Amino acid sequence: MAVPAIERQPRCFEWPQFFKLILLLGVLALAIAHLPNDIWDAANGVLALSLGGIAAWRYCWWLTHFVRSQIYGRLVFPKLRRRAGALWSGGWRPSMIHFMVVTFREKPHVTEQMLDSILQECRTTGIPARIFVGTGDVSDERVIENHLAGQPTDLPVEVIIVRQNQPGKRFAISRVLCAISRHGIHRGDLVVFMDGDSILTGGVIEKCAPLFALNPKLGAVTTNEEAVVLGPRWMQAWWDLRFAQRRLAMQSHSLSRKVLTLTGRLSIFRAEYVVDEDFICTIEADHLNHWLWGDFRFLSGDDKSSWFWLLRNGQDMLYVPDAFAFTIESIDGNGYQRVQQNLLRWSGNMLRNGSRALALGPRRCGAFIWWCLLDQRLAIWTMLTGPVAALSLSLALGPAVLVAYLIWVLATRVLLSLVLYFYAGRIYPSFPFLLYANQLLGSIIKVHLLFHISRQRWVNRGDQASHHEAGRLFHFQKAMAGYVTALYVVVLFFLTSIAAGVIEWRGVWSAALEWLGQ
Amino acid sequence: MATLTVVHETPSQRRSYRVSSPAEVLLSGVRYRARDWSAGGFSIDPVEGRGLGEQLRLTFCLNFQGFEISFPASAEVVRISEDSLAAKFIDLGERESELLRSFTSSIISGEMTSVGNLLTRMDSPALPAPVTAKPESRKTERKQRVRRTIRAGLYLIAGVIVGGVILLTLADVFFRLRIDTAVISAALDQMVSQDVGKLAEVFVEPGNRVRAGQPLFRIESEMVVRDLQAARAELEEARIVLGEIQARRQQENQRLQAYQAISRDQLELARARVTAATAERDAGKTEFERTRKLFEWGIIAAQLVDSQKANLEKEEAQLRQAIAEQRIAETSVETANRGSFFSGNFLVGDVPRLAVDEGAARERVAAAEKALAQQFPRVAERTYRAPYDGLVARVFKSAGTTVDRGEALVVLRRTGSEPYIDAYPTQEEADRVQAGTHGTAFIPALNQRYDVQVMSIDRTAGFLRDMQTPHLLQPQYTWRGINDRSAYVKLAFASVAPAESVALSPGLPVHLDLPKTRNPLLPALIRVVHAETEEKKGEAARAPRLWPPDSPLFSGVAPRIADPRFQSVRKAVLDAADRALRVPPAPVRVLSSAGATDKSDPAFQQSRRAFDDSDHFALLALAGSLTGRSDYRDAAGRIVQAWAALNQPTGQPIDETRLEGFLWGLDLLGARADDPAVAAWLERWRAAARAWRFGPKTAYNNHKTHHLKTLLMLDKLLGRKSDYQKDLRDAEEHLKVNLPNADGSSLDYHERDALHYHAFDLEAWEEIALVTGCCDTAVDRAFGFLRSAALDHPEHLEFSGSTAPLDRKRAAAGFEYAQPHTYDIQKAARAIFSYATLPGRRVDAELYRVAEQGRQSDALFYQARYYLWQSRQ
Repeated sequence: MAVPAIERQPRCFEWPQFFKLILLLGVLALAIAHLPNDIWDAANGVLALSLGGIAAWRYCWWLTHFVRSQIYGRLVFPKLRRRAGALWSGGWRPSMIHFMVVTFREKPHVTEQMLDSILQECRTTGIPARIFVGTGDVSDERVIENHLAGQPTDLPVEVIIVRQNQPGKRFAISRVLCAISRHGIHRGDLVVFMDGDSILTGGVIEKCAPLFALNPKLGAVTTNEEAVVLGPRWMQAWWDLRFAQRRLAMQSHSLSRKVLTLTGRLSIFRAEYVVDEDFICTIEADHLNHWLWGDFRFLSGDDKSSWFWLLRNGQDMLYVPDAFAFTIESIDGNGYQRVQQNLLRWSGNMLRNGSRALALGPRRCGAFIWWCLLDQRLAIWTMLTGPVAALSLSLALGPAVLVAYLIWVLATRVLLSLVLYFYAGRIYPSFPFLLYANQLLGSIIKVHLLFHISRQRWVNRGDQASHHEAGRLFHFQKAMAGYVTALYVVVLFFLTSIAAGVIEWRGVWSAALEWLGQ
Repeated sequence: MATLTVVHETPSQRRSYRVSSPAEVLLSGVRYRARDWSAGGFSIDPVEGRGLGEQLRLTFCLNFQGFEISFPASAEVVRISEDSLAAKFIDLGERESELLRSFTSSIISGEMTSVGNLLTRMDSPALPAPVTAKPESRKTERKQRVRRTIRAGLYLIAGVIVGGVILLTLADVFFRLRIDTAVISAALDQMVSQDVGKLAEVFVEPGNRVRAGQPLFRIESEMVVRDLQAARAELEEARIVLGEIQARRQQENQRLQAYQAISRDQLELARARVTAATAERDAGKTEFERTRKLFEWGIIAAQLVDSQKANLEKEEAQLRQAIAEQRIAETSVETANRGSFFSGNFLVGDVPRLAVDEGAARERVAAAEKALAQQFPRVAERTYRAPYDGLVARVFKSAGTTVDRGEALVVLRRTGSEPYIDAYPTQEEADRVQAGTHGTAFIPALNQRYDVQVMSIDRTAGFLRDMQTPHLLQPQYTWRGINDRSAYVKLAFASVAPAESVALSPGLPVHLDLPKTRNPLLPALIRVVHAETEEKKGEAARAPRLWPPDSPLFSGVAPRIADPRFQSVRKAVLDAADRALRVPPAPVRVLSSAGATDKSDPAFQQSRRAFDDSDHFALLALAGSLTGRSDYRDAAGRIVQAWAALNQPTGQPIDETRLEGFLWGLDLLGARADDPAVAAWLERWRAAARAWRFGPKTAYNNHKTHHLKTLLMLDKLLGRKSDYQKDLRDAEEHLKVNLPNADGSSLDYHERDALHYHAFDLEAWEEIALVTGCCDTAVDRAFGFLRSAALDHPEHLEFSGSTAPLDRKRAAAGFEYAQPHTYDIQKAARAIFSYATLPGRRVDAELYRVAEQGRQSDALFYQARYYLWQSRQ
């Protein structure tokens, strides 16, 4: 495969995409104009006050994030950038940069581009660096050795390859962190956490490192990202949508000097934290005790583990919007399955870490971040109220309600997409559809995972999956998880139907008495 | 680092290189040789008294080229085994950490060797990381198991509760209908003012029980007071006039008496003058005779005779004058005695006129007194009294306030009137309520539940106000949403003891719980299924419920009747049906014919016209059965659907007995007439009839007979077996009082003195006999009485001895049947045909012929039924 040149695309305005968007808006306007008026008769006060209230809450929450994001992006961060730039210009440099890279049977050209980007940073900044590469296979090591053999040798860079002796990314990171510790760190050293498919853009170190000098409480920063999808075109749109949402959310969170994840693709940590035994243990053997599934280890979500460790220890975390990394997504198989698997993995990580982070309380997390954590869990259900209400109303009033709901969905998602186009830097007419599908699928997956929280699978890393011992206990756990999930879903349907006015609620006792009285 | 180097490093859990170079740990004054050490910790030989997790204060010593480098440090015991104790440094300073790391790096890189020339070596991989971060102990496992069991149990309990709640709610939603906009009501009467005036007194308060005739309130009527005052003034004036006239007449009498005295005196004078004049004439006459004899004797001269003669004539004239004056005096006396006085020239005196005037004045006084006397009862009538025993439900005004004519002042609830429930559902809800269904009424104020039954459903009741409001007062259209409670349902309490009934005060809020007629989620599906069922049924006839199953009409083929007379009847039926095809249905909301005395009343006329629909329907259904033509049946369907949509049966037996044709026709149409609206109408009718309350007379006369006929037919048609048995028992009881006489005469005949009513009563009994098979003997007797009374006593005048005021009123109002007349047996055509239809009965040919001649359109159906009732051999 030819190695594509990876460069950051500037914000662009594409007329064809714009016209498609206008066409979509036109269709939407026509649909609204020709919607039967009596559809909304059913949406009486109850529906408006309950589901309308939920909708208002959700969109106000979006608006809140947007406003905070703008405050961070336009007011707070530029000041920080100026101070960091002044520090860097004044000659301040970290004593050493440690690159913690884990890779697993990555495509050679991706590995090569990743190494080139690191070496380029080292060359540009002139800071001594050690590149610790955690590998899982000799093929990765050969690619690295062969590629580095052709590199100029005048760089103050040492490359240490640590092959993992246990399966899993967490073990790989743990071993690399131990190696970093063994090699010794100095106060002020920084450790750059990278995936094998992440590629640094120029100036990442320059933009991120001084921030640590400016804020002694800063534990880590995470950067802006862009995806280069080697696969279906719609997946590029989907990744751009995800990253646009990420930019919006990250900037909003960062205003509280916390973020909700330190992505494993590229985050920079203060070195003294990452060689802490507890940190390494958390990365290597992070686990959760669930009432149903007992004690189980996390397979993926090392970035969430590191984030949780810093959050628990009260460290600040920042999002650096002008520092970019590329992630290269090679989609060889079915894109839909890949999306589903990614959502399954991310949702699981969010659920597994969200509950314990919430337990830290608003004082430790910060009120806004704590509420965001809570909101992540509430949003699972609030998102589903719309389709569930539409379904139940359609059962009562006919399928025309579904049409009305779809128009409502399209209208609201178009509005949200107009915001996301700003963060994506381009127009995708498919955003409204992808956004809704992403929200709906995400919520369904999260509902499923709520009580199947130990279920994990990581296709990217050799299709790792959590294994449970078969047996009576496992069958009980599986049945119980299914039962509780069904219970929650039924309650959701029931409550939503009451809120939508499909079911008239008049109390259990009253109904029971009537039936018993017959 | 000038070159780019690549180093392979063994993966290890150790965060620091571990070396076994000489080092010592000074602990509590005792030196221990380090078995191995690193920047993170060390291992020494076991030390007694030291436990796991214990923090040690120590000095770490390194012998570097003969110099001992040592520093104080803290460490925590992390492992104790038989041959070693391992501890990790705690809070080691950066300087100390850097020192140890530097030593180990140098030793590993070869920059250093151990003093004892011991080989340095790289640490080998540590133990593999455990798969579970924290190996679970038995205790932990047990704890986990208990936790899991408790949570799972709670979820199972929650599931059962939630499932129960949901199932209950869903069942409630899909199968039950709850109406909270309902209220207890009762037959209430408003006591309305007939006067304009002031409410002088109110004698009752809400909640008071009153007896019939008890005063409720008194009104000072402005008009009555004014009339009374006027009457009094009139009397006063009449009396004054009378007094004046009497005074004048008295004066006149006095004058007259004077006149009479004068007249008498004048008469005496005149008489005296006559006497004197007579004496003078007599003397003059004697003198003249003497003179004449003297002259004849010639004694005296003729001149002297002439002179004597002139004197005599003069004296005679004076006598006549005196006599005339006496006559005048006599006349004067006579007229004075009559009240006048002759003044000499004309009569003087007003006594006669004054006498006449006085008489007139007296009459005027008498009239005024009578008028005044008439006003006093009117005043008394302004006290309004309770028309019956009852309960005061409301009093709208208090004493001293003004009232207008037609204004309601007191609301009375009759004692013994049963309470019912007024419910106001939405249009959608009204569509789900079925007449006759039972439900539950919860009355929060009493905290009681009662079994109730739907009597009537009216989806237009909520619009009545709009319909009745003049358009000028309502110049705009009014929006009505699907949730507006614009329909009306009336429900009766199914079983309430009289004592409980008293507690059910009108106005109490009611929460109704009723079964829904159909699932709202699957209306389309139901329609489809319904349509399919209809299609499958097709023309298949359902077993009749009123007609005998062996009637030729249900043989599946066109009925063949051997009797040649039937052909003309058949033709007449078809002709009538053809005419009915062209007549649009004219249903009325409430029938209003019974007891009406005003033939020009539009409601009466509409009801009479509406009765034709019943006849049309029966004939169309019959024609459809005779010919198999769908247009007849479709037309019949349109009629009955129009009625089902509009008519609100009241249960009034005389009005609604005329709708009997619908029941016969519906039975003929069978499944083809199955329609929820029609079924609901029949249920409404049945509920209303069942709720009908009779008066003291109507409980025994033809009203009750027709009531039972309607109920029995409805029971059979709707398949209400238990009700049918009950109503049949009632009919048998009623028979004893309504047809009690051995001669077959009915109670109605004696009450009305009219065969008209005997036949009317008999018609209902015949239908009962046909439908139930009961009461044969009594019906035979009654028919025999009709026949013999009509044929043997044709001179009898109908209604001549009726005790019913209605008959007189109707006769006066021009109702032809109520006029005194002899009865024409032709009018009993229907009774004759129906009697002939009864199994085993024979009507002689002459009577049948008479009936046929008198047959009218309403009897045609019954004549055809005679031929078609059963298969006749």
